[in-house]
Amino acid sequence: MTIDINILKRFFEGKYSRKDYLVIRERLVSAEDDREFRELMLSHWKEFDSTRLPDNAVDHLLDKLQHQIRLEENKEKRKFSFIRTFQRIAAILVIPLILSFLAYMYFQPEQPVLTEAYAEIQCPMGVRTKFVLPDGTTGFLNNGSTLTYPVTFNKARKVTLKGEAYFDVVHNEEMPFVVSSGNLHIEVLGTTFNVISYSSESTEEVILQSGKVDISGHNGEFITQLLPNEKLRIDMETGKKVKSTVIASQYTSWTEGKLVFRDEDMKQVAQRLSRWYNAEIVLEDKSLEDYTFYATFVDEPLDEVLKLLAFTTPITYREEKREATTDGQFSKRRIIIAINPKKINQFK
Amino acid sequence: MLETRWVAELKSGNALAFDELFRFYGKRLYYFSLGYLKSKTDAEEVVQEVFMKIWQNRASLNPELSFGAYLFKIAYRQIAERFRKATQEQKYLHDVASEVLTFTEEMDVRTNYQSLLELVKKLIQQLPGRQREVIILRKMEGLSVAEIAARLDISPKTVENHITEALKNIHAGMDQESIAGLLFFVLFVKEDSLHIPSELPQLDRV
Repeated sequence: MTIDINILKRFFEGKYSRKDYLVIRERLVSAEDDREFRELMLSHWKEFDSTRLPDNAVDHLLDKLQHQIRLEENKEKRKFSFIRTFQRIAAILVIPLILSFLAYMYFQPEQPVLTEAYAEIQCPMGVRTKFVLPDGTTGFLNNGSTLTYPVTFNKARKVTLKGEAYFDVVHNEEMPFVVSSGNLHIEVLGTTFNVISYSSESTEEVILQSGKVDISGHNGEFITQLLPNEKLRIDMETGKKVKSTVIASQYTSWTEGKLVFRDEDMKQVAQRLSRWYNAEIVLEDKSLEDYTFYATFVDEPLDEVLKLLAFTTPITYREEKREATTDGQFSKRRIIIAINPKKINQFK
Repeated sequence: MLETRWVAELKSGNALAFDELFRFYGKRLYYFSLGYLKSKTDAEEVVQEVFMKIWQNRASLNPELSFGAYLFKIAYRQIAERFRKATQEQKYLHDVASEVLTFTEEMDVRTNYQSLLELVKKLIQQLPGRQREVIILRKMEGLSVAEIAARLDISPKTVENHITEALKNIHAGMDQESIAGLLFFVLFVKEDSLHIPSELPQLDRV
């Protein structure tokens, strides 16, 4: 069946009807090679002009590619040097045994010495940090988090996380990427996902945005596999594990500077606000923990957030006077959240 | 020609030639893939995979042949493969759309389907928590009513109610006004009669 190239162009530009879509789907998804359709797309490719489109869309991809190429080259080099070393040793072995210890000496320096070198990224309270790992994997570290990784990913891609991070992992089938958090061991090939593991909190969470991850405990016991838009939450005190369906983008929006709460209880809200704004936020009344909160803030100062919080929940807040410590520095802001007795009935 | 020279250089292992060819084709390939795949991540992956393959197979490059056509050949496979995957992942949107709307011949030709799917997606995200969760499990992950009931620890009847309510809400969100906004007036109406037609495609109530 001949089709009109304009169908392709309409689809391409996002101005297509359902009929157009069904044609494209049938031709592009069909199992056997549809030569005619491919030729049509080739002519589209030949006349496609991208000169006026923004330039910086792929710059970071060249960086990633160069990393990946370097990795592959290192692998090849190591293979080479092993063969050469082996030939040398073989040659030496035919010479009388007295010389064999020389061969031993010779072989020693070829052992990789870099495997134990680690680097650490620390993200202070109140800010986010973007990072790029040696394999080209990128991501963000949230406030008060630490990421430790080997300087070279020679044998494995293993990193350790304390706190919260978002990873966009470069695909490499031969070398899985492993994140070790407080209690979990998260293994992926190439995906985007978010991990929350603060030692000050009793739960750990993994949220998968795309791809696939395998999660196990540190004892090697397999826990589960996550698919996109799934979340695993594990409570360390009770050992309870809950898997649920979520909208992953809501959990990764902090990388864009958005502070998002989705049905989170006041205790979690206070913890996250404390980290986000590098302040100390304390709940005066334990019964406050029963209230949940649902909101998105983009670049709002702490005072605005607190005002909104007081407006939509039965709370009041007050700030304690900041005191100068002995070395002349001021302590962190300290904000006390309490129940607002006047408003409590409105929320029952 | 310059390109022929870069290809020859790349063939002999010059990494700089690789960078040059990337600068020349990377952006074009990215936007071309983006047009077909409608996903930045997928488009980036295509660029990544295609150029990695080019690097790995650099020794077998033929500078006499069109590099652009060679690149397209690799890209086509990558795009088709990802399109297939995305079709499966997005299937639920098509399913939900055809469940709440009746596609007449008129609608099939005259409505902007992409915007319609985006509207469906937005409406699903705006559903109240439980309804959204149930509809995602049912349509996106294809779980049965019984499986959802077991997973969420609620009765099958409640699951069914959530589904009915969710579909009703989505349907309500697709009122005449929002659908009207998705019509291609300009494409199909003559210039001298550029006005909003009084007849809009009829929607069936759920």
